[in-house]
Amino acid sequence: MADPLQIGILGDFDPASPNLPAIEQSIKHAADKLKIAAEVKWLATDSLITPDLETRLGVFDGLWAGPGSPYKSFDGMLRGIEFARRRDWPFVGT
Amino acid sequence: MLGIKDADSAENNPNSKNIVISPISCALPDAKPNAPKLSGKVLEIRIRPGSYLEGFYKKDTVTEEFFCNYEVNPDFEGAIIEAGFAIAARGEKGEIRAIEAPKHRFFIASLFLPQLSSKPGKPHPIIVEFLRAASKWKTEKAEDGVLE
Repeated sequence: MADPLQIGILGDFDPASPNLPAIEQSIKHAADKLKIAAEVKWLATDSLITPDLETRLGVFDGLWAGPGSPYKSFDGMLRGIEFARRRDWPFVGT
Repeated sequence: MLGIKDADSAENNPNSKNIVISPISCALPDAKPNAPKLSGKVLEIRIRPGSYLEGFYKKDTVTEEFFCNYEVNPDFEGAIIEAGFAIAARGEKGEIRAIEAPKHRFFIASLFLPQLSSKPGKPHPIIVEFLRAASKWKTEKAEDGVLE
């Protein structure tokens, strides 16, 4: 199998949330259907306030903005979404 | 995104003059105690004909799971469309439930949570198409060297 797909999730992971762990599960379900491998990495919103944002996000093949507001950093979340929008990176926000 | 400088959400700043994200206007009647105002299944989400979403679902009405207290303020619908987005899904009363960016390679934002209705062997169509787009982009960006 080729290198796994890299999906970055913008959001503050909380294992107790009813909605966040489901993201990883749902990516697995979809990847199985497409017969591809996908790896997921959580990107905490406060870690997105960084001058090397383009490099950090650019390694991902797709970005998913997760739910869970209030975020640790609303501004960080917006910057992540802005990267996807301006640089035309595959994006889903739920 | 819309070019509104002081755009804000009612959760962050209820006193902003430009509340683009406002509290849910119509709570679900059967919401559990302590659950967000809009939570659980909504049966009648209408998908815009000709949208990407319609192509993914291959249906014009879908059921989706929600878990939220805020929604898009309808006063900003015009600004959203002017900024190049399409309203791809609406609630029973026309409320904005998903937007997509037709000029973007894949850009979909929804108020509902497709991750909640995905099951093993029955993935959610939006997530399947998202991964398909990411997979295509993985190949293209490697060839183009877009980040170099």
